[in-house]
Amino acid sequence: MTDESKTYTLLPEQEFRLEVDFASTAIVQLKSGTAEIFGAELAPATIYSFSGQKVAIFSWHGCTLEIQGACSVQYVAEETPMHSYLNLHTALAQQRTAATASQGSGPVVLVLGPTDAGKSSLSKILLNYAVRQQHHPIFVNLDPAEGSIAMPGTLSAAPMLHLVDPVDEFSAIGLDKTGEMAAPLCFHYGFAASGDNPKLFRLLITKLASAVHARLKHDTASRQAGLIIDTGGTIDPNSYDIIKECVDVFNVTAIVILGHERLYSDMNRLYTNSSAISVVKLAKSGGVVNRDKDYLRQAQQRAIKKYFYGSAQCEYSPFSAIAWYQDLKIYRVEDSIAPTSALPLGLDRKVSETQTVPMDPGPILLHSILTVSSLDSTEDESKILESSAIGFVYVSAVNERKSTITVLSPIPGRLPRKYLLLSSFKWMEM
Amino acid sequence: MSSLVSNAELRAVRSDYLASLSDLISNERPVIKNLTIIAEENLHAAPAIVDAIQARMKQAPRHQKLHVLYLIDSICKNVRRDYLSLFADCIVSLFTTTYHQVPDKDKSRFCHVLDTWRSSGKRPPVFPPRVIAEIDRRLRQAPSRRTPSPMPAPRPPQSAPAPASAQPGTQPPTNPVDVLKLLSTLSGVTSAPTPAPQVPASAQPGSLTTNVSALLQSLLNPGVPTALPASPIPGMPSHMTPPQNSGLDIAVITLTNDDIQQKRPGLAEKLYSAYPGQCKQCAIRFRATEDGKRQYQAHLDWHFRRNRRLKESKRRAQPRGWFLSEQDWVDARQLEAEAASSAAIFESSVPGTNGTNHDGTLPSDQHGSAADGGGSPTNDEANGSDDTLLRAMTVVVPAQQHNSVCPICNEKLVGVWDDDEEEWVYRNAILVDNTVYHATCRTASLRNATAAKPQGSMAAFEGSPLAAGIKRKPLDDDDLRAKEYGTPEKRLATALSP
Repeated sequence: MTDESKTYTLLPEQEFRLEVDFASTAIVQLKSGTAEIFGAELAPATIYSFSGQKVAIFSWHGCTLEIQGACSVQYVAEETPMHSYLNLHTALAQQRTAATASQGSGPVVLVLGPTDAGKSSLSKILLNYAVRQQHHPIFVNLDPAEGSIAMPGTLSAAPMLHLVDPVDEFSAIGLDKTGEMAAPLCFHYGFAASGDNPKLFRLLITKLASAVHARLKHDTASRQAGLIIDTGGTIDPNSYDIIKECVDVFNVTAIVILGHERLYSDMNRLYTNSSAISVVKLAKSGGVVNRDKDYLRQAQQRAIKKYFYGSAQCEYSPFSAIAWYQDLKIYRVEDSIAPTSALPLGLDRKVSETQTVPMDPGPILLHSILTVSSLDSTEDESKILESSAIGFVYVSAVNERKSTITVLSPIPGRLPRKYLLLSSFKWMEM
Repeated sequence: MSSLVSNAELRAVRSDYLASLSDLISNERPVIKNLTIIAEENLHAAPAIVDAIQARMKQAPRHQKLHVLYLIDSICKNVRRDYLSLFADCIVSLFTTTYHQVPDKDKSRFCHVLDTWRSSGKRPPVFPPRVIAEIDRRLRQAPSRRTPSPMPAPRPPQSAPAPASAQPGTQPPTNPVDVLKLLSTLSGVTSAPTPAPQVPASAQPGSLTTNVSALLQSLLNPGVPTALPASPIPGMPSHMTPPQNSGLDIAVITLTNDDIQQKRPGLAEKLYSAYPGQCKQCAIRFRATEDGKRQYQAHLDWHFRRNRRLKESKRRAQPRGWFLSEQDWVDARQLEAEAASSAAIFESSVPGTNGTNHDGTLPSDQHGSAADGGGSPTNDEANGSDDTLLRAMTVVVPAQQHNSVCPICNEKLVGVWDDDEEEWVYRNAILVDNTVYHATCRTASLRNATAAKPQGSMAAFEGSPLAAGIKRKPLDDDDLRAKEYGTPEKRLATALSP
């Protein structure tokens, strides 16, 4: 709306909230005092520029902020649940310290709640506070909608070696290439919600959990720091099976429910007898806003773009490559299918939800995102869904006559693997 | 000497050098190194150079004066000769006048540079004691203005092994211990006793200061973290000043709704004043303990690598690369630890050499105790030794444009600072025809190429120096290598399959 700079003064424990459209940019500078964005402190006199984001800048000590650019919403809030988030963190930090002393395992936290309750924000706060105290938990992202670490439609895990960048958010994890230690592990799911293919979802969380536990066995530092597990909005009692599965496979020790009383009471009832699992509820922040479909779609598009091009802080260049049909094996996952009873009499179900269907390359692939599977030609093709993703390509052109597709790839040269999985996400390169 | 040079030539040198000095806008090692070399080459026109530097010191914006001081320091310690006496004549007024002009944060650095000019132990002073004493006296005359960093007390006797004997016959070396001290003070770790072994005794004395500037660069670049501020929270409203120790003895918080909701004033100090040092770039904080300083150093290294990478990506296309395979991801921490420990053992077992081979041949005579370095139970002895040898091979990061990923495995080549070489190097690397490869990948691919008929890009590997070495020295499949580099054999096989 306006481009002139405005100065805001926050009293201790106040929060400045701003929303910036995708088309505009707002620049934030900390002039004095201390301030943090989802737990990551702002450096004084450093420029943070936001676009298409909803940001809450909280101050424990009070601060002065200078905001420049067009925000669709900006205001100072006095009521925040931050003290309870900090209490939660402190409790977890105490468990981590105890785990370090006893060579045991740190807390495994599962964050639950409806969509738009601030689950990802809470996860960021918990991760950043941990990193600030030199603990480096592993972040597990079970919300395939936004594609926070790498790409929409994936489930992923990554050790948090550094703060979650206030501007790049979780995508900074995948962007940091200064060490392989920080690399994420991704599995192809292909859908935006856990309910789209619950069977596959459960298969993948089991797979992801076993990889994480295999790592924790040797990775002492991560084990003592524990896990923070972010989830998509799961409040439907029908999806409790998935929650229970999560709790089991990840050995969750604490379930945090954000802003949903019924979910809290159900979880409390479920786990009231298990002494190893604590269930706590937290109020959702007044700052969380409902993100409409359009916002989510734009966020997904941005995540895809970031995968190929990086961010302003960390640029990457994708490469174009041509692949022949005969060199590729493309599969897609059968999505929610009609119940058996709905099938014509005498017909059996040909595929199950965790089975892949080979598909012929063709114009249908145009603008699709394909997951490059780590499965190599010596392995059984039926394992493709259980194989991690080594990356993604975007189909920018299909040439039927020559039987080739042109893909945008994160590195130059031919694809290292021929097995690809079709995701339900499409992208238009702009 | 200088009397033989015509006035016109002197003027020309002066104006040329003055022009070059305008590059000195940030603390960049290559710039300082370059200017030092030019000064050395123009020894005959030393007065003109000194004059140009003095002029630059006066002209430079206040926040750039420190870089000029570093240049003077570099020339006086590396070139010496005529420059010492010429600077001795003018340094008193130059130093003291400039000192009062620079920003407060630079004042302490001025003091530390001055400190390295004093005599210490076997090291003679850079300037005559009367010069230093005069500077001290003049600085003391304006005590109110030089408070930010009181002159350090006389230093304790050095406990570190004196490296003076390392290069007999050379000019009196810049004492590495002092360099370290300078470094550590600059990075804000003032009171710590300097750890001795970071600079090896065999280091070339001349390159020490440039080494400093390289590291300083990482510390002083705009936007890169600088010294830890003394005040815990800059600009914090005074009415909110928390009790320093509040929150350090918090009772155990249980994960119950009551406990989580309870307000605990001052609890946030566990995240703030408990960590007084702050990184200027990303604002993460560090404790004021030895551990905290170590972590801060590691953090600065990370920023340095990251900023370097960002600069590179601005210059030319940086591919993102593939993610790790599941097994690599699971083992990432172990592999890193193993790589670090085997490298360390190799280095300690072959003192004085580090397996560097610029011409791309294998270090064949160095089967040291490397085999037991892996520490992995699955790593069998014979392979471990070859693998460690390959891994210990380093290539100095070429100054010219070069590939940033290994062409074979497509993993990023990661440069690390090598203390011995005093250069950025790629570990486990080999340089062939201006292309950097992972030594392990290249070995594997050559082995593959000799087995399968070379085709396409593989043809380039034929007849290279390494090929012969590899044929003599076939390597077996190796768990470790396969794990870390995503099984280059497999990747290559896939790439080669029709």
